[in-house]
Amino acid sequence: MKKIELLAPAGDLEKLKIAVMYGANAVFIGGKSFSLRSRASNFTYEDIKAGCEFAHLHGAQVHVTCNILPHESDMLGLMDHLKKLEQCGVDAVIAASAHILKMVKQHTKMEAHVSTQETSINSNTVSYWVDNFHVDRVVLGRELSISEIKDICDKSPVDIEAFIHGGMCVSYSGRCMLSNNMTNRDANRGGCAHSCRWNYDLIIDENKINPDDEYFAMSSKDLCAIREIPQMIDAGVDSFKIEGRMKSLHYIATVVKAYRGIIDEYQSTGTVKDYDKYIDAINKAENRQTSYGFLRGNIGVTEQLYNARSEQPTQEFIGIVTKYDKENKIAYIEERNFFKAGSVIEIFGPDKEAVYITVNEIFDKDNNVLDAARHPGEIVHFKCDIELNEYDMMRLVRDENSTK
Amino acid sequence: MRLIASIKSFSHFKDIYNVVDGIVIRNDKFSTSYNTSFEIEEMKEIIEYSKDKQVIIDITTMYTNDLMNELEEFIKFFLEYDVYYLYSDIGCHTLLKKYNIQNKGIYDPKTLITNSYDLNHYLSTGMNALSLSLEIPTSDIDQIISKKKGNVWYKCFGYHQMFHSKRHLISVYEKHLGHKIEMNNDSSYLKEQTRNELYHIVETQHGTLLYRPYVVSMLEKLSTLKSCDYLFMDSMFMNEELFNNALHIYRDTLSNNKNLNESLNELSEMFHIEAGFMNEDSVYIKPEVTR
Repeated sequence: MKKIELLAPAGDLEKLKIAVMYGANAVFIGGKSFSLRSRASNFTYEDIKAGCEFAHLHGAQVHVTCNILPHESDMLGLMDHLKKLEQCGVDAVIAASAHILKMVKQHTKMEAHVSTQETSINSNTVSYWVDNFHVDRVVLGRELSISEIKDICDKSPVDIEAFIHGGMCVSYSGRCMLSNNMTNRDANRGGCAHSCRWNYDLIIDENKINPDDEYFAMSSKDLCAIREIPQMIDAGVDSFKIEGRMKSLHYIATVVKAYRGIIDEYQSTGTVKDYDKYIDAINKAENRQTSYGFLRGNIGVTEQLYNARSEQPTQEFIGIVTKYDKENKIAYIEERNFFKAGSVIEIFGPDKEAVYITVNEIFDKDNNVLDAARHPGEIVHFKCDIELNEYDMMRLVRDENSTK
Repeated sequence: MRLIASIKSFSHFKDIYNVVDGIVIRNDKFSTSYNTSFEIEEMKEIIEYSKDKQVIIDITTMYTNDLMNELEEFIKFFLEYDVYYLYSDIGCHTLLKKYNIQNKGIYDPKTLITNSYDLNHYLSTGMNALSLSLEIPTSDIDQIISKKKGNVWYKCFGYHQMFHSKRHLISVYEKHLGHKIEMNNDSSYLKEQTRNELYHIVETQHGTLLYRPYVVSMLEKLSTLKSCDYLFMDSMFMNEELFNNALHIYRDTLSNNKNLNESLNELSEMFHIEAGFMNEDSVYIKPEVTR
């Protein structure tokens, strides 16, 4: 059976470890230079090296994004950067610049992957990169249906990577100058102001078309391809990409686990019994409305966001297990959000289906009883009869005063 | 340096024949957007009339495999002619190479060519010319041109495209509203809630496009322009007579037959002119979004 890569985002070393532990076959990260998503907490070389060591130990790969469209002066230090990435153990570089792709192939042993910023949406484009730059993989644009993706996969001599989850550019990625023209922030060098999500009046022949109580909107729902995964596997996609290097630890764990589950289920049984199980799981961490994007063909009203804020409440992430004392049945957790003694919590982990427990008493490191865990980052512990593991996560179901 | 203009009609071409070195012609099937969609027979007529003028067919939309197959059939109509192709999808280079006419291709990826390294790598694959990004300042353009190993194309005059989506945003919005919107691509605009400018919005069979609110003109950077191999003036959204006047001003000024200041004054009397990114580099990130 063909091994399909699940490629997850990681904004820092902790997220990288979580992505790998929850089932990613590879992670993509950004260095301090040459990378978009400039607000993501990008990795130092030390972090990259540690990340590569951790990932390789668990059989996963690390891809580093060098996906800005560099201006003349931005090229300074490129070779030094690439050599350092190679020394850190990086497996692949994702780039939109022809020069960066060329340098990766000519001067390092890392793979060169063509970024989605290049808008590769046909087989001739894949051929251009393979024939002229000898790249190892092409990341497709997000404007393709599954049948179009299949046609490209069938004809491609190299790996094809396709997006399955996360934010959608409304414009063709890499070809948008909206942010730059409106705010002088260059989206193609990591400064996107998301001007496509702002409010506009639509005016035709001097008449405002949108009603007074709403604006014309271009904004798109995020992509969620859970229901399309079997078809995309059958289409021959080599790597499934989850977008979102700025997303939280909880989001990455939840989304990666869901896609890991459905890919494994389909590959091992040839079917998916219950899509809703995976969608419900993702919805616990997904705070934006989602749709299948272009995967079923051109988009309609249900793929756009009108008159609605995209954000929706998610289930609260309260902590991550750092250690479990089997003998005394005590769970040690690093708190992330406030929770009270008496709360019902859901625990899930890389190899653990969701279980629910009530936390009767919470203790600090000196074994003082706490009425609540209220200091994010603090290590607290409580009695837990169910055996837990490092990297297991906890979500609040209801606290002691809740009527839910 | 060759001065190229997009034409609105055959008669428009005849009117400016002696001013331009070449023309861009468009159609609704393969051009991202267009003033006029020329039929194949009209294109052939223009090509046969053009004699010593360079004819460039705009095929700048983005291609799925199916549309690329249709493009291949389209290109076959022109194999006997000495025509050039302006494209934004690098897959078109592969198609042109199949017919050994990759040297007739001009790659205009809008944003992607921002440095001399990338420019020269692309040029080394055999295309005729590359269009520089409209997001870089003149100082960068000068540096890039000083290192170029082939032809450079630059759009020096016109409304600059700033967004191309595959989504049919107005048609979808029409469905959301539940009533018909009478589209008119010549007079449709978006206005951001906190700004006064009107951005041209155009919907075609290939999606939706947005343009800057005012005409970007590079004429004041005369020495930079003279070092480009192709200067493109786009008549999109413009009155034909005004556009022709601008074309004459550019030609006369580039030929040193007209004083630059006088030309700039004349242009600014005809158009609301803006500088684009000519004088100012953009930034990677600002702490707050300025809306």
